[in-house]
Amino acid sequence: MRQRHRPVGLVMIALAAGVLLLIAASCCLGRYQVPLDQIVRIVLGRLGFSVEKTWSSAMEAAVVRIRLPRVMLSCMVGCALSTAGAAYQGVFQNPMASPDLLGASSGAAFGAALAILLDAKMGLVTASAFLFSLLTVALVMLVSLRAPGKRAVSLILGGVMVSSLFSAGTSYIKLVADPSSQLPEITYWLMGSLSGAGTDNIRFAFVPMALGLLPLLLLRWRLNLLALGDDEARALGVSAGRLRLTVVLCSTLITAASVSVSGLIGWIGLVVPHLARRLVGNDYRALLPCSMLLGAGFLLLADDVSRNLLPTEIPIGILTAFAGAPFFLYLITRKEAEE
Amino acid sequence: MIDVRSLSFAYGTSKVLCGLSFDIEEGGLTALLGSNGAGKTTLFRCMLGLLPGYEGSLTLDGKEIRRYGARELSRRIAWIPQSQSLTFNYPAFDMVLMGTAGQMGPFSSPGKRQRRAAMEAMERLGIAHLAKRGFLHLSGGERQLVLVARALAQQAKTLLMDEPCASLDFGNQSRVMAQAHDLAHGGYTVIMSTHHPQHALSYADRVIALSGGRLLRSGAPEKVMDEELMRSLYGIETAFLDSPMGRIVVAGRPA
Repeated sequence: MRQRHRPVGLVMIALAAGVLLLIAASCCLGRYQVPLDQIVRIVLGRLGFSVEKTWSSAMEAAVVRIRLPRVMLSCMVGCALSTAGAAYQGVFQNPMASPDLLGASSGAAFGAALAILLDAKMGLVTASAFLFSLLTVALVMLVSLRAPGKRAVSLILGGVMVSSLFSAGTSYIKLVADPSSQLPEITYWLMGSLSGAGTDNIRFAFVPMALGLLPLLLLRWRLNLLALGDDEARALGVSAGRLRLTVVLCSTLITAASVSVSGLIGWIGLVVPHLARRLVGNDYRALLPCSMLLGAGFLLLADDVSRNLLPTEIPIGILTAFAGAPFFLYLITRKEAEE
Repeated sequence: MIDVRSLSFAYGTSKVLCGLSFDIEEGGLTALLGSNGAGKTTLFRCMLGLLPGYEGSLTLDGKEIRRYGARELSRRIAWIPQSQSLTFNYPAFDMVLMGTAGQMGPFSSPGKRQRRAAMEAMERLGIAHLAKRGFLHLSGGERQLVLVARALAQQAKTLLMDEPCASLDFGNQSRVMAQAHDLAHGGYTVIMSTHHPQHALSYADRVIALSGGRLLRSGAPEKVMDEELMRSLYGIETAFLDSPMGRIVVAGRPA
């Protein structure tokens, strides 16, 4: 049995082209239809080119303030969650690892719920979600440092425990929140949605995402060495512990940034890396960029469905669960023969 | 080249190595004999710099092992572990390529030179045709050879083989041993732990026998290997016989 994979370069070009097409289509789609050529003109005009103004101000506002930021944020969040998922799977050598494994999501949920309970503004809710997300993972890592035995195992166990602790906290906040105003807001946040996307969200998420993604991309070949175990990696001249710590920190940063601007969007970080593994194999040199593109496209598509399928928007977290759960079942029931 | 002087190591309070002293010269195949728990693996782990808390002295090319950086050491000494399982499958070539990690900075990926080294290593062992096959789809013997190729791609001249014949069939055991022997007489120093005294007898240039963390004997196999050594190592009776294929050792049935 040969490992049969399509030529990596071709897959990447096809994916990149697909994502670009999807971006163009997503900008046009919506209750307020905008023709593609108008979007191109508006964007060119915004970028400082002298373009004859053939559009209305309302159209420009819809494209620049609402649609473009939302499309961009979908791509960013999809890309970040998928990359973090692929990286976590490598760190824990576990195909079921996903970005929320170490509690990043439940920490963010708690932070957001707490901020909403305290009647904080939307920007503060995002910041609180981000901080609590990082705090949770830091707590899990501290716990794992004190636990004897295999670091990866104690991290996972710590993640499960601390996650459930924060989930309990979130439940309690929901209990005491004002049921007419705060509770719906919390519930809506927890379901995950990109409807609040704006330039401030993008600005907030961009820096931590870039800070996390860049080292991961640079280290991507090294990620393969985590498959060998600590002693073997060390005998090859690589400190697995340091590598794992770096990867966990970077992945946590981009996960926290995503979750804090989008709410809880599950499954993407689990499903997309596996699709990417199918396409280009397990070598992180190809897997990581492929996950990024695939994740961006996948979440953008999901968001298009979420805002266009029904007159009222379907929270995207529900949609990704609808798409992700069957895939997960397929994943755990398929035959062992991988290729 | 490897110089061991009163080397001791303890995991917590349980002593595993007690005052070992021996040296291994460059070239040739050294077989490490000993029962389970005799300290073979711990000795390897000390040599690989994984247990810097050892007492006594353990030097490679005149420099204490614990003073080597991981990358520096990886260019001198390579480990060929017992083939393990992987969660995510990699092509055999990618596995071999991982051996080149110590030759580059953390942000680099292997380039043309590393790929060539990996391919040459596979060709040297006659497994170039396996390059694109998934590691997990290979047989035990093939996996072992892939791991040997990885050590060659690492460009280290000392190879530590941890029971390379464990769970291999009769034929593959001889094939792997023959490859190890060829390497040991083709520019490499091979140190191998083994549970097969016959392998030491047929292929080794030197034998180091460990028991309870102590050195029992060391020297050329024909000189040090006899019924008495087998009795003290394994607690069983054996017979050494001459055959047309060389000297053989047979184990008796324990009472």
